[in-house]
Amino acid sequence: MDNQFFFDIGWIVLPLLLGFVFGQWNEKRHFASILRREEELRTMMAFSSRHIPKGIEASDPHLVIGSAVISVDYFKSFLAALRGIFGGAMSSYETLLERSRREAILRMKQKARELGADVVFNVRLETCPVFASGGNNTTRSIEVMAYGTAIKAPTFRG
Amino acid sequence: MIKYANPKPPEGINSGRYRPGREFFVLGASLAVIVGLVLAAVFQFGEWVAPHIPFAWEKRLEGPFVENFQNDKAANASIESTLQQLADGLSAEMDLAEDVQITLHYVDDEKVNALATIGGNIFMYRGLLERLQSEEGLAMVLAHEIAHVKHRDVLAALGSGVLVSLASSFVLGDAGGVGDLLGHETLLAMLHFSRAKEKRADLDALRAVVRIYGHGGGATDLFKVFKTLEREAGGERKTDLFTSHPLTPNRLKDLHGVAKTQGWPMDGPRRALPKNLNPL
Repeated sequence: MDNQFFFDIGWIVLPLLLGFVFGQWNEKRHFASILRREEELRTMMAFSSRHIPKGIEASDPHLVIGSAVISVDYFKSFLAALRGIFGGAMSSYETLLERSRREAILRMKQKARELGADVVFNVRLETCPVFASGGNNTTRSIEVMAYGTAIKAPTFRG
Repeated sequence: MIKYANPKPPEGINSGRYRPGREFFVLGASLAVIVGLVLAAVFQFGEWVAPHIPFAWEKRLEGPFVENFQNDKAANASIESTLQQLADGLSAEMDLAEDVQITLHYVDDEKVNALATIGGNIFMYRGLLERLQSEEGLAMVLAHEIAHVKHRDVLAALGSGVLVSLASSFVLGDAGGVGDLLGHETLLAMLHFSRAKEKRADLDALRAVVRIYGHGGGATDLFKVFKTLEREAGGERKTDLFTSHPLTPNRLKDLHGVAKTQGWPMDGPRRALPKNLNPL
């Protein structure tokens, strides 16, 4: 009984601990990488307006897509379950979604740069949950896809 | 002409200054405390309400609990009637409610055990009987189980157990690991309440045994059996946190403490077990 008890608790606490340590480490690294690459791609502007403003000389429109799938760690989903009981801001998922959104936009901008474009218009974001499997203890992932129309436009050339 | 720019927005608008470890401890500890209080309330409620439930109602639920034990009534008739006589003598000294009836059963099994279940049914195992050296020791066992019946401990435990599992499946149905951890907390709380009930049953049993035999030697005999058993099983436990009963040395110590304040002797002349109970 004693040993079984600690064994059972261990099976819950161990992934929690791993999730916390590696999840936080990953998140820190990811944010650092996002900040660095955002700086690199700052000259590639992106706008959500549907139409290219009048009077802008534009050519070579291309659809550019960037997508990122990021998984929740066990610690975050545990925390989310706690939040699910008490209510309130689900901060553990907020950082996750922010990382995914910014990563997706970065990948979209990268694509635009590779195409030699100067700016992306009509940028849209789509989010969709990806389930590893059914059940209660599923580790959930989310996909964020950013897409837009990349064009060549000397006005925006940085 | 509009000037186009993508200025760098400040960090931390969407998810700034987030400290997940802190959130984890605040939420986790709050939940553990709340659940602990709810559990205590439910168990206390069960404890409080069980004695007010008519015994006849409890009796109606006994069927499946009694059928659990295979029992050859014809072969054990003589043993069961001797046990019943002993139990009746003890019940008379234990201030049972008028409608409460005790029914003794004998289980021909080597397991060293005795237990009380719903409807005042007490099961005495051959294994334990074989180990007991004295009538006083047997009386201590029976009186302990009668005390559980008297306080309606089984009914209270059953009732609050059902309530707790219903509540947890509604509230924490899909909380995953959180639910698992709370399940363990529930288990610890149940064991805590169980130990309190065992302690009370020990005390009631000692009082009854002293009234009939004039001394508490039966308790000494009984716990000697437990000590031997624990030694055979490979060592004594260090904590009772994970057991339904308090540690054997502590049970004995508690009884000795009470005996001292009440002026009850814990030793005295022993009677042999009634002949038909002595399998040797």
